[in-house]
Amino acid sequence: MERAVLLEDLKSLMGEYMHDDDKAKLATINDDTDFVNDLNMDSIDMVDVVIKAENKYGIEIKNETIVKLNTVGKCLDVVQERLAEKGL
Amino acid sequence: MKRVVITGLGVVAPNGINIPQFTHAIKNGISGLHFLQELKDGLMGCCVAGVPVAFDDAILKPYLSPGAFKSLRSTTVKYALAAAIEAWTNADLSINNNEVDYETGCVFGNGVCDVDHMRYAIQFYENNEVQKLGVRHIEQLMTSGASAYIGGMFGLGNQVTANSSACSTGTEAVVMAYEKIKTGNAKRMIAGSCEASSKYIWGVFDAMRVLNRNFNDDPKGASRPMSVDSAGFVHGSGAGALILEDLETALERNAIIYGEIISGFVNSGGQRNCGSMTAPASAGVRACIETTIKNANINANEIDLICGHLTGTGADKMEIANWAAALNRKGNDFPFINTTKSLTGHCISATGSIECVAALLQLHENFIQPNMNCENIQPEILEIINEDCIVKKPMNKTINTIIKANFGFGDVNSCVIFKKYNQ
Repeated sequence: MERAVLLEDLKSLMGEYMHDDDKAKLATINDDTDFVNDLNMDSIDMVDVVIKAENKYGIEIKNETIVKLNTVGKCLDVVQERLAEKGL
Repeated sequence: MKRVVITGLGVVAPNGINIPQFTHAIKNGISGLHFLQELKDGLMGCCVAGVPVAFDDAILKPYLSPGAFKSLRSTTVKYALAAAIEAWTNADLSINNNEVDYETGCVFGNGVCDVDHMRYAIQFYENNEVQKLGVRHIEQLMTSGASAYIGGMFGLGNQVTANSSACSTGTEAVVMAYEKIKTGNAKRMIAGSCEASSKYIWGVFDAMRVLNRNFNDDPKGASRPMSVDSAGFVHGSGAGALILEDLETALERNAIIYGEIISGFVNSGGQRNCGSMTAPASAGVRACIETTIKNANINANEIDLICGHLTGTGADKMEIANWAAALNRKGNDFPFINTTKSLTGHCISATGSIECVAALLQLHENFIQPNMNCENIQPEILEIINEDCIVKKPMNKTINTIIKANFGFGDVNSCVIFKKYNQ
């Protein structure tokens, strides 16, 4: 699946957990953007975002991987890997 | 030992979802009890309950992260947060987002978590969808959920905990916070308690045949403490919160002082000598009250008002007898006595804190809240005290000293004395 498409999906999922004042930052996020330090998100909410991504794409991400997903790039990498394993 | 004063109040009650509304309601005998069709549909015997129906989650939005607000389901936590925020702002305290306040803590109790929320979580498991449940549930379902949310909201660095002692919970929380400050181990504490609006909890009490089934067509008349035709209590829900401070800290910042706590005590009847899981032992109740008065270094004759437990069950007359024995006052010499429960129902683990808030409003604003639905008092009660002690209409009256007690399942008791602040 196209990385750009995944990024838009991720932005949509993340938006629900972001303060209104921070949502403008979504327009400029890149692979290095840190969910907590750059977007002021709560780390526990990122687990919710990952669960929603799992449900959306029908994939499963291991617990030990989830805790390492602190940036946009790492998150997209893992989702792409899992999708590739499914041939998507 | 430090002197301890109350500088902030907050409440979410069936008859008022903030201090101005609640004050107006208790001053004027306004009930918050309603008939609920869902209880009838659930085949409950008692279809009346006290729910803060005007409560709007939106008031919490500015104080929570978007994820926390979006996931908030538990009325236990919602009511607690709203009451704590009101008490904090009522005390003219600000929220510091960057620093930890090691001098301030929180004791915020509850009895049972929001069982409706628990059922929501259970259904995911039962439907083999537990992996879709999401992350923010245990923080709302754990006993310390409310205190944990409050601690994080205000950056509290002193003790942050939740007590649980059934209907004694709220007043016990106030006593625990009082002792923490009195001994110099904290300068400020948020004390309070909360009770969810949950038909599943009410159903458990209904099955025990302790709720009044006779007033489903007259909900505002359903809670009838001390009345000859009382036939059980009516369930309520909500939260109460108080800001306790050491006197020096309060004076330094020119805080409004609602009253001073001059004594507080907690004990148990041990479920012996006629005490049981559900019935208080009179010896334990009397010892709790007597010790509270003794520790206050006052004479029982100085007490102007008793804010009693008085639920509307068969235990009311025993409670009156215990007050009379512990204070050694009866007949015309008995103090005024009242309870908010005719207006709010019995808010179980929230009842103590809501009633402490009510007591302090009466102390600060010089009025006695009327007891409603007790046109005809139980004769056993009138054998002990004069009927004029049971205030039935709003009364403006200068009150200097109030004694407040609650008694809970497990034969546990708590008692506190509030006094008008004098330098």
